[in-house]
Amino acid sequence: MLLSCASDTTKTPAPASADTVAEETIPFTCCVCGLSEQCHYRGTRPPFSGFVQLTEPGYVMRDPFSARAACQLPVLLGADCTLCARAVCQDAGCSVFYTRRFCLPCARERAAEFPPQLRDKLGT
Amino acid sequence: MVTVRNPGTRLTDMTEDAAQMIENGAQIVKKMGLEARERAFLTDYLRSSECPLKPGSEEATGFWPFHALYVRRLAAAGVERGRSPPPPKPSRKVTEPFPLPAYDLRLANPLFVERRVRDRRDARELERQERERREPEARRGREVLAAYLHFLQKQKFAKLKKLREAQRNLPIYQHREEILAAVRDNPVVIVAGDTGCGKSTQLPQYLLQAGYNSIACTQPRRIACIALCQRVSHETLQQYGDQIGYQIRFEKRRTARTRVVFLTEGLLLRQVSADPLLSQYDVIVLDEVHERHLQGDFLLGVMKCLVRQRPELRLVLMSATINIQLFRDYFHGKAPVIQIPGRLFPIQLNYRPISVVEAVASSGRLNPAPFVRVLSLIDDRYPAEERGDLLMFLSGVAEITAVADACEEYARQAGRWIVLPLHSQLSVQDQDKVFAVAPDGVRKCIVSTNIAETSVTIDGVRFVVDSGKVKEMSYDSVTRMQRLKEFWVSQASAEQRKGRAGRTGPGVCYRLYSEDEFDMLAPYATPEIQRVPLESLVLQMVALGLPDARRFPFLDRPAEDSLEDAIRSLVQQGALTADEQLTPLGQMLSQLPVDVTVGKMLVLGSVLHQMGPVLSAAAALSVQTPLTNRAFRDPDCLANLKPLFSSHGDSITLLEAFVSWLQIKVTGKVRSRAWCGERGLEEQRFYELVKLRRQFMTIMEESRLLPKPARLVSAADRVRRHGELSQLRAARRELQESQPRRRRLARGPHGVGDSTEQQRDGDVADIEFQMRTNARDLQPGSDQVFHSASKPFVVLHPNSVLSFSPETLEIADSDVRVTAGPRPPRHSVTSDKHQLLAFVLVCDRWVEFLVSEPAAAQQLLARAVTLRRWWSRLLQTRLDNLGSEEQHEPEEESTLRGRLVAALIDFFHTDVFYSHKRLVPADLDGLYCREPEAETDGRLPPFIRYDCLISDSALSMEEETCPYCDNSLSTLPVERIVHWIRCIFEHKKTKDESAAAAAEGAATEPRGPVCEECSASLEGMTGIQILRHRRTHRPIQPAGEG
Repeated sequence: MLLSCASDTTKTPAPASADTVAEETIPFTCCVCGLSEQCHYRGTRPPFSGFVQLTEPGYVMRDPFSARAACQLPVLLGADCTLCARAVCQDAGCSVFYTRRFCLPCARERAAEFPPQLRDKLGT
Repeated sequence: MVTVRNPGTRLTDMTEDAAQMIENGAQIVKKMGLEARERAFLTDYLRSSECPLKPGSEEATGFWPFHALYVRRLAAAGVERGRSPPPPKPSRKVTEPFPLPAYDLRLANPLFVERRVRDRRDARELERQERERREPEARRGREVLAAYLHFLQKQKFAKLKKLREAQRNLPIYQHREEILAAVRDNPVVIVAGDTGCGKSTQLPQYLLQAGYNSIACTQPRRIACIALCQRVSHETLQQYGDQIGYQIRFEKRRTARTRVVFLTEGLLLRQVSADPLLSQYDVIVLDEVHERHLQGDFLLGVMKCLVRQRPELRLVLMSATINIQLFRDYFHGKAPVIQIPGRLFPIQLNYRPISVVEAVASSGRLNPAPFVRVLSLIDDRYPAEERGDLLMFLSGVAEITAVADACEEYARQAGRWIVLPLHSQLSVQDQDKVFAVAPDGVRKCIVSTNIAETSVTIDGVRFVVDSGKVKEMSYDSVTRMQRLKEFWVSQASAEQRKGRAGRTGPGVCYRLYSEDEFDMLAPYATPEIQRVPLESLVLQMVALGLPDARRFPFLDRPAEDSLEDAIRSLVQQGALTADEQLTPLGQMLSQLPVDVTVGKMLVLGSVLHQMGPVLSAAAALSVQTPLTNRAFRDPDCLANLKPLFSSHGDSITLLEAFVSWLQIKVTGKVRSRAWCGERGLEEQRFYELVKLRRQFMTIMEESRLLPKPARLVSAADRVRRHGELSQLRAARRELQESQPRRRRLARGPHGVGDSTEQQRDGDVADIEFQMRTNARDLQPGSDQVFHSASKPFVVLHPNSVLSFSPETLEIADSDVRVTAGPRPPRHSVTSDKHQLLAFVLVCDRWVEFLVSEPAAAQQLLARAVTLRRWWSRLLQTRLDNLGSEEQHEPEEESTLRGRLVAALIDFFHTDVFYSHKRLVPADLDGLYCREPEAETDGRLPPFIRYDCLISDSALSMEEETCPYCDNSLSTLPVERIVHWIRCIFEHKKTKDESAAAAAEGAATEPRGPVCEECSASLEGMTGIQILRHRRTHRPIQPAGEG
């Protein structure tokens, strides 16, 4: 073509390089509410969030609502339930955290063993 | 200021200083209380590079208020800070968690804060860690920080969860699997759903989740591309990623990683021309196909062809639930339709027709009374504490102003309304006001054009008033004129307007017409393809390699006439050859995303190196005129404006106004807004103009018609350029989201309300011109009548500069020479001062020139022909040279251009006396002795016909010698013309000219062009400047006595 114009400068996909490969993600699905997301890290020491660490091996996402330069707050999606080992999200309707993560169905079964201050959170 | 004597010791000095300071600091800290130490510890933590909250961010500033709250809460609970039980060791192994420790809220936080030890062998780091674990202020600080970060991240998670729930609650979510299955199994799928069902935002995400990797979604509006890109990237949590992108004409956010791109219909069409199979996409989604825009309809046709060629491609059409059958039939019923019910509450419908008497106010404009009545009706019927806003649909800005003013008046008395106009010409900030929430007990009354029908969705509307009218551009292909005309809306539009009342709850719709009138409305609006000129469309088709526009699979065929007219016009413009092949000029024009006429103007400007003024003029003609009505009504404004008026007409006047405004802006001595105010100019239009000019410039640079800005040489240039850039940036900021107006609107009050016909802008290269006949019959100030090739008896708009000084067009008696001729005396007024409204040449079958001296006539013709030849050769050279990367233009081109410019200027100053008249069809009957045919032996250009006029045969010529080459001339007129053309084209000079040139050349060598009247040098002037200079010697004559 003789001429090209502003509108025709569409980039054709470049050969994959370090720059073009999308970041590796880990799938996460909550066993209670079905929330399904891709997270960036699973474990206790997210490499991207400075001095913040976790006491449970969680599914951690980079803050999706802020630019990377502005905030590196880890957003915890959830973790595996201590009792049944199923992934559960941190929503108060799905799980409770007290020294460990418990999905609500498991926590309700053992409600009596939770401190009384937490029992009403279990919805029992 | 510290002078460093020995730079080598500086570093160590400083470290020692710093160490000393830290030492001192530590001493001070120890003396402080626990509170202050904790505060110092936290400040240090928050400033550290490991802190996930960046200093100054919203999150960081929220910390200290949280801290205060946390301290109070723990004190109230009687919990000692800094003494939280040690958290269990993190472990992936499922261990028995029971028994759980007694309740401590700090154990409900899975987050903790601890600085990383980078190097376990580093004793200082280990010591710091130990200290932070042990010392009370560090324990307290880390505790509260962990609590705050946990609180923040919970908020973010809640936001995410809410987002997902909102997505699931959209009506389209129920159809997700159905849609994906249909797309998998069918090349074409139609998804029909009303606004609010979520199709535009969700469907691209579904496709993405289903594994399609390259998805293009077209939108009719540029603003929608950006908005959707923002929305969808937010929803896919890619706000700061690049999977979701957009691309509009002058802007894009798109990388190799982009998987979904929102783009305008026009842009996808341009991509088709570069890549006919669009192999970069695996799914193409056409949104809002029901809007039936020109580009959208065309794109649909192109896609229909494409799907046949690429069976693996997936095409999804998205439409409102309007006229789905049309689309189904277009794909022969093979495309499955998935209907998504909208979320609409019941709407109570009231017909309140306006009586004939009341329809028009005494001023002749729209009577706002029936609209105001609805306001008081709402006040009477619905208690103020029941929320719900009112949305009024009117046809145009003038109507909106009238009704909004009247409503404002009512609102002042009632005190329960806020009146907000809404139309595309408002600034973005003003448009945004309609989204603000009104205070309790007050309703918004939004007075809008049809922009609020589909493009802008306002929540909280409970009442709708529909005037039933809409203003649309209509095009008359016979006269080639576009104008804004008021029409009744279609039933589909009326329903759409009504639906706006029921988006957030049950609503009420008042139609200010009767039910009978509604029944008579057209079911659907006329598609744009049947309303607008098709030149650009046809040109694009040919450029895409669709040889015959007549055989294109249109969704709705445009009228045959308008198609034929477009083709004919393109041939006339030189974009297509007579057998409808693309010319190099056509190829060029098809690349320019502007109107054919504007495009040609730009190409011409590039070829003649007059880019600056042409860019400004093209932009000035494409935005609304900055001259408001007030400019002509207010005597002060008019007086202030007078110096800007140009006798060359409106285009040059606009240019003058723009240049003066720019100067005001640059010098900065006077506030430009005030300057505009004094002249009745609308400053906003100038900003639009600047932006559009910039866009035109980008287009020209991209198509290499304009060299890309080279590195600037002098400091002064850089400073100037910097000034311009910051000015432009300021202008762009102001205009960030406002769309440039591409359509030309009839000029009038605010540029819109008036439906006065306006001439199509004269194209400099166009061989049409408008000329006044019978000047002597007209009094200055009276309505002058003009004729154009396609429309006789055109009246200049009363606000045209030329209407203000009609004497410009008058022929002074002193310039008139009455000759005795065979024609009635009326036509025998010959003069060399007939004014042309647009520059240049001759025309076909509609104007006749009668020149008293045949030899002069032939020479004139020869010169005109030469001009045209040079022009086309120059254009060709220019287009040929575009491919090369040469920095400097080839010599051939510059010589050619020099000649052409000189000859053009010369041509304007021809002293040949002639008369002219418009030919009417009756004249044509007796004019030709045989059908005009093209010359066959190629000596004359194809645009000249000869020997076919009845009077031609009567001409016999005396033998003469050629003034250029001394050879004797034939007695046959044709032979003479051919001879002359050859002589002029080879750039021979007449004997007189060469003698004069030789004499002067000897005296002042080298010399540039010089004004013949005052001998001032014209060196370095542009053609227009030279013309303007020469004009100063020919003062505008006061009008003759009739």
